[in-house]
Amino acid sequence: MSHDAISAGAPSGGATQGAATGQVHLPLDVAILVFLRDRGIFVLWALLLVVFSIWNHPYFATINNAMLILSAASLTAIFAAAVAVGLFSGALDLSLPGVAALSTCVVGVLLKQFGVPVPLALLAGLGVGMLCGLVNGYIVLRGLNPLIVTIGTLSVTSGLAALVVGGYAISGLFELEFMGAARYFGIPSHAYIVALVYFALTVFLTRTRHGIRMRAVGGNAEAVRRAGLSDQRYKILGFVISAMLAALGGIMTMALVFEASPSASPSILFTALTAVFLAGVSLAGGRGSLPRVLIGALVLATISDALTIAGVQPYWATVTTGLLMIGALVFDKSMTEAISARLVQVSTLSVHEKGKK
Amino acid sequence: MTTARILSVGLMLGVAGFASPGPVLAQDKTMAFSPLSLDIPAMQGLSGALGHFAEEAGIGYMTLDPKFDANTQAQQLSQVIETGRVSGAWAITIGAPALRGVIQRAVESGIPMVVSGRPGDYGFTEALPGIAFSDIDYEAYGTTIGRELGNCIAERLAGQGRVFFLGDTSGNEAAGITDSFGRKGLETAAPNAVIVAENLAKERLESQQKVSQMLLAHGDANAVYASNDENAMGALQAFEAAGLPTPCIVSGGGSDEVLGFVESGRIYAAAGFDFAGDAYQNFQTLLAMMETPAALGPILSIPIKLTK
Repeated sequence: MSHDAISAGAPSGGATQGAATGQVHLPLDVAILVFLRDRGIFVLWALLLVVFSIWNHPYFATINNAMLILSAASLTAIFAAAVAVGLFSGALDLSLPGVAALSTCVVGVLLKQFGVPVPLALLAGLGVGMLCGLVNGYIVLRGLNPLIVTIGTLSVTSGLAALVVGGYAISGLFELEFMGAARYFGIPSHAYIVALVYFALTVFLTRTRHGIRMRAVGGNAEAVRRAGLSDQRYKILGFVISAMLAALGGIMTMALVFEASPSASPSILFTALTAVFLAGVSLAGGRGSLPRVLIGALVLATISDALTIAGVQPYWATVTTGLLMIGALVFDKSMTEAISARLVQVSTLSVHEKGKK
Repeated sequence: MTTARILSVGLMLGVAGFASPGPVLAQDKTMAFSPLSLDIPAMQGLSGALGHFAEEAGIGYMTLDPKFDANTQAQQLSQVIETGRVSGAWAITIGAPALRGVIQRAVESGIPMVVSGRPGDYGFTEALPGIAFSDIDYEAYGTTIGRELGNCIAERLAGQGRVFFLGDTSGNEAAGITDSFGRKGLETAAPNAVIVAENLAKERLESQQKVSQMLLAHGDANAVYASNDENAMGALQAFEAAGLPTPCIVSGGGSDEVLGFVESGRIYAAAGFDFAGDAYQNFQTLLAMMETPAALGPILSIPIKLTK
């Protein structure tokens, strides 16, 4: 499911091509390095599960705790998807917490003050997200720096959220329990939403023309323009999907706490960014895999869960998250450099071998 | 690659460090404490006191840190309750409705809890088995801050107060109640006082800067409603920096620093929840409920401590 720009299946110097199948075969050591880079996060998660199961025996390795980890990872996963889609299309959207707050406040007011039916209110919340994404996209297309623009819209949306609810949270939104703390067949409702969103987005990004073009814009907008495609449309699409996911994340949070809060929590963004970088998504755009982002969110939730159960001093959780993020970046860079170096070495050897023949 | 190796070794050492079993693992019974945030010195102190009580009672103790996030608080409590990691928990609730599901599962699991507020705050209609409600009366809290500010205005300013209102920044329902009753308390105690400007500030520096800016437009301000200690200190510094007389200031909270200023007369009064005094009562209640988790939990009340 990985859709990196360079993957184990990509043609490269020194690689051999099977005559019958047309498949590309990398040298074993390069293939291992590529595997570690692309699938390292899966290995890390598996290792963590084993270590924590032993350490926190008998509390950690239970179905119930697995569901708790799923539930805790869900919100991070949605916000991480929002960040990742933005990065795929070439922009880091910092307004996501504000968009989430504004959407939840609109839904809260519609439900509590206007008695709007739940489905309509939820659609309105997502609509607010879409609108915010459109505004962000159109402003950025004027040639302004996305970071600065989205910091501005973060402030605007946070202020609007407070205005919508008069500064204070709207509480008692118990009608949203069906998509909050509720479980279906023992699985948290959030997990279904996350599964649906990740499946749909992965198909969109890897199997549809628009999704592939959107990632191409993030990777190299100039090349897309030269190919005669509109990069602007896809940049806006990135902002819109990103903001709608943030709105969905906000609504899911609201359904969990039964409260529409105007506070735009920047910690949501930092946790999401950590999951995204753990997954090796490039800040420069274009490169990254959505399923790995989901694993990144699960890794963070697993660590937090294990440290909580173990009763480790809470400050360590913060330290560990930071260390993981730095470690992931160093690991990704080291692997990429090692792969490049090895490929150069292999291709040089191949040239010499051909020369001898 | 060398850097990666060093980081890997560091991570392994870190995990090994965590893995050394602490005192928590050695106990048959363990309680968890979930404060608003361990960033608040008062909560750190409270956590320390609870740890001491637990040690004396021979039970294990762990602190959670939800960092003012209602969802995080619910997640962390679920993780220690639903896995059977703890035998009881006390939560100073950030957002009551968020803990509704946690409480339901605690009741099902027979794990007692002490939580802030009243049953209705969580969507329950009555008391629950094994759940004690420690009622935080935000109406009385806000009224006390407002009333004391009104008293100061009546005593020192002949009732003619021009007030800066620095409201509660947490943005939750409790903040709305506190601020609303703060205004009512002020109006009752000093009917002629006027709120000339309102603002929100979380930190001392932010409060100082905002009050300085507000003073440019309202140089005749002479009283400050401060929702927390940092607001009070920032406002006091702003008035002093502007060379203005010390205004009537009443602070919500009551840190040692603010209490020192109350003693010296530069801050009129400080009102806060007496969490420390309440801790022993809640701890004993939790301990008793651990023995009989099926019994209906009591509804306790957190006293408000006024220093002037």
